[in-house]
Amino acid sequence: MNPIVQVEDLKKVFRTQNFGRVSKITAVEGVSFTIQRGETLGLIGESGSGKTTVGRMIVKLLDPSSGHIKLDGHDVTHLNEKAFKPFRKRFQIVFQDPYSSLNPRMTVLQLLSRPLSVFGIEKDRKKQRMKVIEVLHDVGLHEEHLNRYPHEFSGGQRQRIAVARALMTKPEFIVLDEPTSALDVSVQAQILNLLRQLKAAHNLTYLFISHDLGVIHYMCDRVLVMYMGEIVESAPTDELFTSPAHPYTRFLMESIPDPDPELTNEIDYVNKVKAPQSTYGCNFLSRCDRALPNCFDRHPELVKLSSDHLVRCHNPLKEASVWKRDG
Amino acid sequence: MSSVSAKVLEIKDLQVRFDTEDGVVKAVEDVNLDLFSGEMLGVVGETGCGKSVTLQSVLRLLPTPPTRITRGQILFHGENLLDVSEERMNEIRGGKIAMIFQEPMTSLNPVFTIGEQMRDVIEQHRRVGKRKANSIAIRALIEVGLEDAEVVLSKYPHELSGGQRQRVMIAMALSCQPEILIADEPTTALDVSIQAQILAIIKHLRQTHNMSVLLVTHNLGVVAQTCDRVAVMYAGCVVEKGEKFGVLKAPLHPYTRGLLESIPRSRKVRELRSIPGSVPNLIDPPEGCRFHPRCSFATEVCKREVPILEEAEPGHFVACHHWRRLGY
Repeated sequence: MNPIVQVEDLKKVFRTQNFGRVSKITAVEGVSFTIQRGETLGLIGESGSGKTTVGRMIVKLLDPSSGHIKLDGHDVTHLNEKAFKPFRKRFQIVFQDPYSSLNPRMTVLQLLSRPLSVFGIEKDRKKQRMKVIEVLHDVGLHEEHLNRYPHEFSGGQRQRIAVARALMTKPEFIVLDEPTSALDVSVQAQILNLLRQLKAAHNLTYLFISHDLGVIHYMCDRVLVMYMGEIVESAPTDELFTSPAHPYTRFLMESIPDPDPELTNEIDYVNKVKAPQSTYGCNFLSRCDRALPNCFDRHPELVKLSSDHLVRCHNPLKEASVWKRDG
Repeated sequence: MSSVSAKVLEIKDLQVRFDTEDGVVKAVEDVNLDLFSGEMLGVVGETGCGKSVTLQSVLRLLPTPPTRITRGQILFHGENLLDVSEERMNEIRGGKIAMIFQEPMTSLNPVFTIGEQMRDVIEQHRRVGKRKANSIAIRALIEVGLEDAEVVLSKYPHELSGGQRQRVMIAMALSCQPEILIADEPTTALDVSIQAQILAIIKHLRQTHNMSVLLVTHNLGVVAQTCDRVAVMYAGCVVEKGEKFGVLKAPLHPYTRGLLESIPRSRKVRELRSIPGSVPNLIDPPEGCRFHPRCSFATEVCKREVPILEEAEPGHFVACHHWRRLGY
């Protein structure tokens, strides 16, 4: 069977104009990966790493500058909006901020029945309503919520509505772009549990974008780590957390303050990080404490450490992990 | 630790109300907090728990109206800040007690250079001339890890990254040698790696300058890794406080426990424990214990009576009718 999503050598360059001066920013560079049916692939990185841009290109909210995107074996890279429409129905996205992703002038019923009309799934108002109620139950909301407006709901409830909207078209695949980072931790737990239940109930495949390693660990089967537009490491979740190979991955793990006061990481953060940039060598060079001479003049390729563990580093780590949260 | 050192700040029975079109928001309800010399106290809680309102009240930063401080005292070395004149407050604010905020972009003025803004503050509070102010600013910037301090001084806020801006804010706070630093979610808008740096800087400065720090955050990890004591707030009330090892390793309040359990850590957990429901509307908060509608241990008494904060173990306080039943 075809992988549900296949991305090859994806590149995205944004052009910005500042007082007439045009500058180019490469947000994503040479990104390739596949997502198999039924898996949850995590995409982790800090702000500006290009993770959201990748997610948006997959569902064609952005067009890549070069490279190819195949959805269920079909190359959709150059399809126009009309030709892409059948894919839109099957490949959905949930955004980070449920305060801006729901139209404040529409009721829940209107918000959720809209996809049914747009994709011609159900035209009949009564049947639409029934379908909407069904999905509302799936996400833990009720019939009484139908005629309310987004502002009447809490952040967690709004994100439930946003998830429900994505589910209306019975998709196979959903990009979840930081779906819980605008929520409080107790509510985040509710939404994460809901997403795991929905995945099992509807045979979904997820691309889960987050900057939170704890969330990624809880949700994902496999993880891609992005840094400055590139994938720097790719591994099954357990392996990534027990033996991270890229210094950046370990650096991210060490940076998370653990809620257990007895687990401390003593690193000299104050002087560790300098301005990131290097012309020829590795992107991570200026923040790395393991740099070798060839890190300065050769950009590392993504190489295989094992069949499913890839790393972009001349001097990958071999020692065990700093992740102490298991067990 | 703190038993021998002096109290520098005491928040006593603080009650804050907001008048809104929909009714009176009971934002802070009888909050008591002490800050000792040289210690770092974390105030944690979710959105709308009153943690920021409590700390902004200390510096009288909330606009009145709509805010009303209806009861309580805020004692800074015994002087009630709620009664002092605006002139005296201006000396304290930024001078004795400095504050840094969540979004460093909005707390810096975009049309002035960093140097102009820092010198202004230093001249005002330290009563020194321009040149002296400049050298104080440079020293403060170097202390927070901005080595090319002179370059930074000539820049405008938009030319700096988020982490750099937050460092500038800390340097600015530091340059007036405050006794207390109030940090309101100082790292929430930043990436984890930058967050780690900023927290390390705050910890380091607190030691070298013997400052007391009040840190407001929603992140229990941040508290665990930086603070000495922690106060957990829910819906305007302090529900638990004590040494961080006690509160975070053996929490006595069901809310604290729920918060800790809802932090995702590992996929080996079949299902995360979450707290059902969401934070109540404080115009019409639940009667009795404000947490009872979300609490799995709630009984009749929780619906009727507000639990008082009692000392369960030495230095470890909890406001729950049933903490004895929940003990480990």
